[in-house]
Amino acid sequence: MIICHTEVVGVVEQEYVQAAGMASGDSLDDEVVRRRNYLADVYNSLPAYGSNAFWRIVEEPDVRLALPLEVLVKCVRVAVSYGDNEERNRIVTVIIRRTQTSNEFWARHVLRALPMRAEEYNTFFSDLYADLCEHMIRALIDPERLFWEEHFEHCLRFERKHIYYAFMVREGRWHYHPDKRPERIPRSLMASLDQPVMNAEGEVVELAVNDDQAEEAVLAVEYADLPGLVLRLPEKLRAMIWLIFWEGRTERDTAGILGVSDRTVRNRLHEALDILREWPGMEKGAWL
Amino acid sequence: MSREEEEAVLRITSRYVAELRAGRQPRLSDYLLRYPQYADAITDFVTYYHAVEVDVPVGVPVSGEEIFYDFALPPLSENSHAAMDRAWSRLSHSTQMHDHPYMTLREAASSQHKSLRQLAGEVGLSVDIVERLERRMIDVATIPQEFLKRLSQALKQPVDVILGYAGFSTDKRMVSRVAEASTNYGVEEQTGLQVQDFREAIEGSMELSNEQKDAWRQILNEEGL
Repeated sequence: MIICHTEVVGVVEQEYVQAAGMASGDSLDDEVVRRRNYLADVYNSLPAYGSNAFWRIVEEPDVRLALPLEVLVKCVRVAVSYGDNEERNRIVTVIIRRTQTSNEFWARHVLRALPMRAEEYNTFFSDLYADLCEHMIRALIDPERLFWEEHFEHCLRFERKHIYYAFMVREGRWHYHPDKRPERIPRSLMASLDQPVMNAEGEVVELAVNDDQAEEAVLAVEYADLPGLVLRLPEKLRAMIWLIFWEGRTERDTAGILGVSDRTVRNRLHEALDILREWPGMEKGAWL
Repeated sequence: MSREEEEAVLRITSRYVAELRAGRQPRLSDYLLRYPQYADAITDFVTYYHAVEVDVPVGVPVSGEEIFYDFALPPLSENSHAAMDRAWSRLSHSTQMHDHPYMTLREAASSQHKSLRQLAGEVGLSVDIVERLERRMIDVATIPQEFLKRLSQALKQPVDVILGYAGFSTDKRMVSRVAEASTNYGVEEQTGLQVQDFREAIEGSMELSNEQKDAWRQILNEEGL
């Protein structure tokens, strides 16, 4: 099927205007605007959709000359808008081919860090990659997901993040689900960690909130391995651990950045270290 | 998180990655201070990125661990082939679910938390016409593509899925065109109601404004309907 090029351009221009309008409140830097204009120019210079010349460019085998993936996403959506499944699938195949090395690397990288039997590896690899392909295709054919037309690689990273989380939970590698928040402990049941308390002998003592052993264990973790450790913590604890152990911030600084009290930081630190201490084995890679 | 918020997080975190790849050392704390409303989502991505993505190659053809330098796009690998086949098969199954014969426009709108009136507003029609479409009282062969595109956007489904709703299937359109029939006899027999052209429904609507009618007349003329 060959569609008049001007029709296609009209759709693109309209959507770029919509995207720009949507982001007008945002401080879009020059680089973003330049990139958008560049992608629109590349798209607008394509030969008529469905022509032989169009396919030669879409299926260009030299990666140095190949179209930006963002433009290919636009082409997929034009095919979808015309109900043209055959050509939609053909462009999707080009995209999968262009991204397969990075996606396969990612799947291997994820599995490499997990202890598993050799016979499980191929099954997990297939599942992970098929899940990723399915989610990629769903995103590619969804005209509402405009950022895929602006920054393909980054959208792909987000898609892989979703697949990774779902995989880790589904396969029982993570007991904690990142999207599920724990129930709050009633404030009245929690003793103040700041205030001195009276012990059985009637002496006033301060609660020791530091968990030196757990803290030392975190500090012993190699710097590059810390992100994998943080990733397994509940969402509300991650930023705090990151700021303290990755950026080397003080508790007070951290409290200021997160907009919480010093006490909240100490409570969360305590909670995070409790969780870390309960994990079987803090050896390198066991938490990924 | 809404679609707009998701896009904002994508935009913000893409800057973080760009800074990192440019050899700078972006700090999560700077981003949290600047975008406190997205603190959790930004932290979530940044930790994931450093844990998993940071070593994944971008846009460079590699095979296993070794980088090719000949710039030729490798053929579709066996793994990709298998993964893509599985993905299409799942998607096709999912589309068939959407093509369920009892899935009506009202149900499709409801699945997006929209009333029929809201849906009508989004596609530029009045509710009386959308109700006629819902009841299959408009000849599918006379419905403009523009309407299907708008419906596709409003229901967040591709056009080929939309074609399954309310009997807008390609087959029916073909049959009607070939037979040059202006009515859908099956529906008429079942309901005893008059089936109209889309244009007739536009002209006869009591709820559509004159401006809207003009806009649809122009669309119908452009599509030769």
